[in-house]
Amino acid sequence: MNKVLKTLFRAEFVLFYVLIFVFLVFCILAGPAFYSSFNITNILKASGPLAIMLYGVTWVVASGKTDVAFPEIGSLTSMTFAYIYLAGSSSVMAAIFGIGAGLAMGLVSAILVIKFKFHPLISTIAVSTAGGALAISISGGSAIKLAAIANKTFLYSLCRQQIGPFPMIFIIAIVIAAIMWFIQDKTKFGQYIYAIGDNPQAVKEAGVPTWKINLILYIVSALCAAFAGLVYTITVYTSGQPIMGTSFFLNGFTMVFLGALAIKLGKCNVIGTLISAIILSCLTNGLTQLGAHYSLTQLSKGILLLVGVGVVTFTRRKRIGRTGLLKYE
Amino acid sequence: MELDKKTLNKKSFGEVLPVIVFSVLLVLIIVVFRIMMPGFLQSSSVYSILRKIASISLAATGLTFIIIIGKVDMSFHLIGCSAGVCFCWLMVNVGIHPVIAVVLTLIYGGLWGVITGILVSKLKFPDIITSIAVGSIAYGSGYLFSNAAYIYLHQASEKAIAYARIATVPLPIWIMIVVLGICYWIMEKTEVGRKFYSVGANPKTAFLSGINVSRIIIIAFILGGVLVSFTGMFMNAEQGFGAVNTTLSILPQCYSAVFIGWAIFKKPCIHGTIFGASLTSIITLGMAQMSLPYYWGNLVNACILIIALMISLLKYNDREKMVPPEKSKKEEA
Repeated sequence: MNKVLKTLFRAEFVLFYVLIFVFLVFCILAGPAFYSSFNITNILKASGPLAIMLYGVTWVVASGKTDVAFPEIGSLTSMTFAYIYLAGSSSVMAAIFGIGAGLAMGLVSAILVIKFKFHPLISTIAVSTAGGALAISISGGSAIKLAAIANKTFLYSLCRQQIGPFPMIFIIAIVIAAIMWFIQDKTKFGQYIYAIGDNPQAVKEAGVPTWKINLILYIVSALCAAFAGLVYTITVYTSGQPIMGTSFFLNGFTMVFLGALAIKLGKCNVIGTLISAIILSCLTNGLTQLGAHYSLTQLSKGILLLVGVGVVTFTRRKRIGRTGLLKYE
Repeated sequence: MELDKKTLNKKSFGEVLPVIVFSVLLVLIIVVFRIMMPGFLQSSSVYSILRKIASISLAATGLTFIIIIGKVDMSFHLIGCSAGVCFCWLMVNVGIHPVIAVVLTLIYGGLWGVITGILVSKLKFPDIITSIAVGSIAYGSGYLFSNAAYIYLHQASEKAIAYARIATVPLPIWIMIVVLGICYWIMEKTEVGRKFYSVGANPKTAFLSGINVSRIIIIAFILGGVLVSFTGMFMNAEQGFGAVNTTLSILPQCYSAVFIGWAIFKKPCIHGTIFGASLTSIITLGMAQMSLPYYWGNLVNACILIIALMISLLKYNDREKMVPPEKSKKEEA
């Protein structure tokens, strides 16, 4: 019995308990409006694309780098898709071009980081600014409406479906998470990602072509963001959105770092990102239902992020230990 | 290969080149704008350009301090939003005299810097994420002041920080000259400035040579918060109402300014940042006056940032040439 309790209350599962806690608190405060199956479907629907957008960034952060271009990749994909689709080509063609535009942005930041050895943050800031400007320039700042024709696309009809209370987009998110979890945990490539995060120099000296891995990471990151941008365009906005907004940026990093609390303590991972996407959607949905002030959502997200970072920092320090370190370190 | 004093003291071509390139670029840009728009750089528009430069260069100087110590800040624009709204709230809703409100706002901006600084230095949190978190809390608390509405500044005394003139020169420009003059003096002429640079070069050696590294990091973040509060106040007073998202878009421009300065003068420094801020502001404002849409300015700024980063790499190659070959091999390994 004691052993069972010990395994149940391991630190690795803390995020699940946070999720359950947040859910229960809102169930009590907001009542049946919150835990009705309709609302739960809504929460999962919101968390699906959000999680997909951040899977790639999770890996980039796990390898010790940053990628802040993901909202702009999403919006560039969104605008390119909308523009080409409205110009009369098929939806598949438009989607290919849209994702291609997003991939191009990922490729540029990969080249800047790998070939020119810029600081990942600065180079992705530059790429995201340029990409955002391009996205706005397609329409001159206004959204491109697709309301009349978006529902003819395959993705739209796919995302409309539900299996029980689970919307299709959430199931897609779970499937992608499962595939990426397999890669990250069971293959050599996944081990390299975390090894680069711990000590890039050692990995390089061991003869691993780190530049190839970094390239793949940035491309996967761009691919995830572009796909999520496409999903948002077709199902949520039904229009091409030039500015995906600062909320994605903030939510994204909160999710990635909260996700580090789950499964692999102190290391960002895909499953953790999915769980924290659900937590954040619960939080936003519940606070909105309670009629809370907008600032409260923002504040609680910021505090959650700070707590997440704090726990990750302390556990990592505990794992590494203090032998051989100066007082300053 | 012997390194005699002459080679060390002589500024290599690679070191002088960026200064020449960017000065020529700046003059060229001004000339092009002047030819395309006869109204550009008339006495009235000179002040509007200087006003813009004042806003951007103050925020970018705050960022420079943080980049000098080798950290990164993603929160300064959010702190600026919060501080700007706090300034308007203090004057309109609380009814405090503008001068005291300015002082209180600077303290308010500095407090966010204290929080980030302590978390990053004492508790060793990673800088990027911590600043994003603190920035989002600051941004959220900006809504507490404004209650998600505009705070209109009706009286002239409330807008004085942007519009008052001393000897026909607007107040923001005086503030920029005084504040940045002090910053320049501290960084280039005093011991404190040396400490900043040594922490940035290697915090471990800085600690071993008796520098209080944590204190320097906290001071840098405080300066970042205080200086960006100036920007928040200027921009809110200039537009005549306090809104939370006023300084939200200055982040890429400030990074461009700092890195252009880095590219020109081979290190992140105050005078370089002012130069970079002037370049980016003139481009943005010039393009706005040509009634080009604002996003072209963003695009050009991003391109300049990338070019500046490329030029700042020249320094690295340059130094490598001066080091004897055996040594450089060891360093590479």
